[in-house]
Amino acid sequence: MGLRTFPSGLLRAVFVCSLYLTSSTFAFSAVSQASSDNSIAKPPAVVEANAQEVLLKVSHAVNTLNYEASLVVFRPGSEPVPYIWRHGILPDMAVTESDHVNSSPKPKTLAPSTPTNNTVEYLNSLNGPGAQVVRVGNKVSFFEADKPAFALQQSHIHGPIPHNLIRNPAAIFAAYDVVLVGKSRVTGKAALHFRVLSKDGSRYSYALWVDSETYLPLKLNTLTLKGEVLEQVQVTNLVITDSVHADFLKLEAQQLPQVRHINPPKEFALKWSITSLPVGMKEVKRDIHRLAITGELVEYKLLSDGLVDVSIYLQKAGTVPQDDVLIRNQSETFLSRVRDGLQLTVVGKIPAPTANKIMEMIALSST
Amino acid sequence: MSDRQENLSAFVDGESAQFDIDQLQNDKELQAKWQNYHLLGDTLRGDAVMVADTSILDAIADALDDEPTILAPRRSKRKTVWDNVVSLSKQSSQFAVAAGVAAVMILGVQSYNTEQTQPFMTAPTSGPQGGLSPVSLSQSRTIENPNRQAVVEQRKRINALLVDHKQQVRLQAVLDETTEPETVPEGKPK
Repeated sequence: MGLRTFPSGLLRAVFVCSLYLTSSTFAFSAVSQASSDNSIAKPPAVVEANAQEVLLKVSHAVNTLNYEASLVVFRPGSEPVPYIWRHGILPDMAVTESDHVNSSPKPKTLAPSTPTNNTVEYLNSLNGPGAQVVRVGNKVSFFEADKPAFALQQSHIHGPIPHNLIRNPAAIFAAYDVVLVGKSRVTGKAALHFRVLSKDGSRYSYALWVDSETYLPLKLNTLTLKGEVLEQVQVTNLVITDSVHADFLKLEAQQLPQVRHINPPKEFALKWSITSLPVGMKEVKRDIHRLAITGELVEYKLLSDGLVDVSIYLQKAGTVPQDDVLIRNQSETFLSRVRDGLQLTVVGKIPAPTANKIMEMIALSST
Repeated sequence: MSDRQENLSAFVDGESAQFDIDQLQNDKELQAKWQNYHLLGDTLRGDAVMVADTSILDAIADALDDEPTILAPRRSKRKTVWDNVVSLSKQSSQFAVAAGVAAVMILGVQSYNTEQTQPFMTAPTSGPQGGLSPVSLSQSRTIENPNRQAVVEQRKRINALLVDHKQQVRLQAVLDETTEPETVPEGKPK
């Protein structure tokens, strides 16, 4: 009975599964275990290089195509957050002028010579009080409901998908392995499926699906160490156009707020250090600043591995002795501990054990 | 042999179209390989894989084949008078048990009540002592207050840190940019 149904199921599987592609390192090592003789088609190194190459193609597509994507961010236990995300390449000034002969002063800053500076990007959170972000070249303007508009000098919009993953993947290769796992169907398109795994297994892992034709991202899952979904970004609609979205052509530099210049902090010598960090994580910033809400003075370090940022705060402990505080706020882990009259805090999208490890590596030099 | 397996592996991976599917029909070993490859692929992709071990299924199928067919007729369910009598006696014994339980419960409730009534009765008689309770209440309130305040303060602090972290993450890329020389002329034309 079981034997008779098996081959017919197989034939069905021929059509379904021939869509798939299995070419990961693990696949081949596992296959070699399963079949006692080593019939490995490709050496694993080649496969990994391919995954990195494809990811570079993704970054090229994300940075150079005209597209509009609707996407939804899901987090277990909270409301889905929908966004609209547009990206485009502004045509040369000549084209812009012929299109808008009648419109008032020309946005001269819109078309500088460097190619990155004529890209435009737009991100709008669709539910609740709107938060719109517009990027023109390297200038990012924020329009939020409860604040006056402001602008920052930035190369990208800090959106739901970690920007280095899809824009500058070279920045994450030190900390993460990228593996091409196979093919599947996402957002109605044939998609390539990647896994992004931290080299020492101390950070969340990611599953990324990109359109196999255009290489634009379609779906991103952030997974805990146990493999549970922590956060999900799903593109629900993706439109690629030849020319830039009409809204971008109406943009005028004069309407955008002034860029706020932030002076890079001087070299601070803090009296504490972090003796060892997870693989690929680096200290990218340190300073002393006041918290916006409470006005408390904190000593601060920012760590980054290219994909996630981790903040470390050191401040005077309150009068009431406190136990450790461990909170997961959305997908961020918050760990706070009082040691020697100081409150140490680690915040970031990292698993709690890793936050604890970083916490333990903070060395306070006695004054 | 290994050549054929390699072909199959490539075919399953979608990398080769040069594989004769008809080979599979006759070759049990290749069939097993085929299934293993797909199972591995699915597991790695994180697709929902229901691992049905075919060897177990086969074993069950074999076992079912070996199972002798039951030919003996079932016992008829005709009731005799004697059966009824037995069941009646059974019922009566059940009644007895239930009655016993009920009696125990009544006893229990009675004793419970008597315990309860004694302090209950004394409470209204000792009138002036009742004045103690509001005092103790206000005391507990004063103890609770600093705790709550601490909790509120802690929450405020946590919130402040979380907000600051978000801001720092947002600003991080700015610092990357300002160090690049090409951005400077971009900001100046205004």
